[in-house]
Amino acid sequence: MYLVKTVEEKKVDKLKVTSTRLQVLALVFFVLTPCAVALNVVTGAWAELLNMPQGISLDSQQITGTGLLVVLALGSIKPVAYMVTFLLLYKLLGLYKVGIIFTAENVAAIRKIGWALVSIDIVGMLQTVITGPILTLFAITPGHISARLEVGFLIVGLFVVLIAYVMDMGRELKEQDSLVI
Amino acid sequence: MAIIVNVDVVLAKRKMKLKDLAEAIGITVQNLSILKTGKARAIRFTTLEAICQHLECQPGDILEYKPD
Repeated sequence: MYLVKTVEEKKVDKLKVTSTRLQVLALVFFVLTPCAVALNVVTGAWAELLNMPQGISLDSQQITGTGLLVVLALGSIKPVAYMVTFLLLYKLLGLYKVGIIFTAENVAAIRKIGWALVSIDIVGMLQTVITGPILTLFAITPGHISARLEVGFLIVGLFVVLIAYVMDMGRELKEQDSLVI
Repeated sequence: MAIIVNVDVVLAKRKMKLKDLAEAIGITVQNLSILKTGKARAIRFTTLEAICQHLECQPGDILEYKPD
């Protein structure tokens, strides 16, 4: 007996395959993020880790004990936000992978991804502002303060939140459609 | 709701089971149950036509209007 798949079934199959691949990619990026932090620490690329302004440099010899912990904590703020986003993306793709598309769970997952993207820029800007005073406080760098405006992820995140609302409307339509016999 | 679905009455008259009708018209028993229990929001003309064809009845035998 041959089973002929409908156009809708073929589309769902394609979504499942694509989601599986993207889920692997999200997992890879989730794992690579702390690796990148570790690489920066090992190579002493503190400026990249802390998003520090040009002209301010850190001497690896000076960073020991508490200072190292402070630098690591400050440098981990933004990567943690990235990791949370990748984890949420991984979970959403997991739902798509098993064919769960228009459900309240998906809508919530998309909304969370949106806010996580927004948080990347907010956390990044916050990190830039607090890094200078904290490093100065621990006598790691000479006194400085810097600020940076980052809105790329913020704008994309807000659009994703909007898409979550649209998806919620789609979910309602799907629910209504399931009651049309 | 003011619209009453009498599929079960017509089925009983024809001595036919819900499962048999579902198979005959090509929809799932679950969907036919939704229709039978009055939970459905709407019914497609194609579904109504198939039900009427297999039960040899009129749409009025399946659907009834009763004011609330």
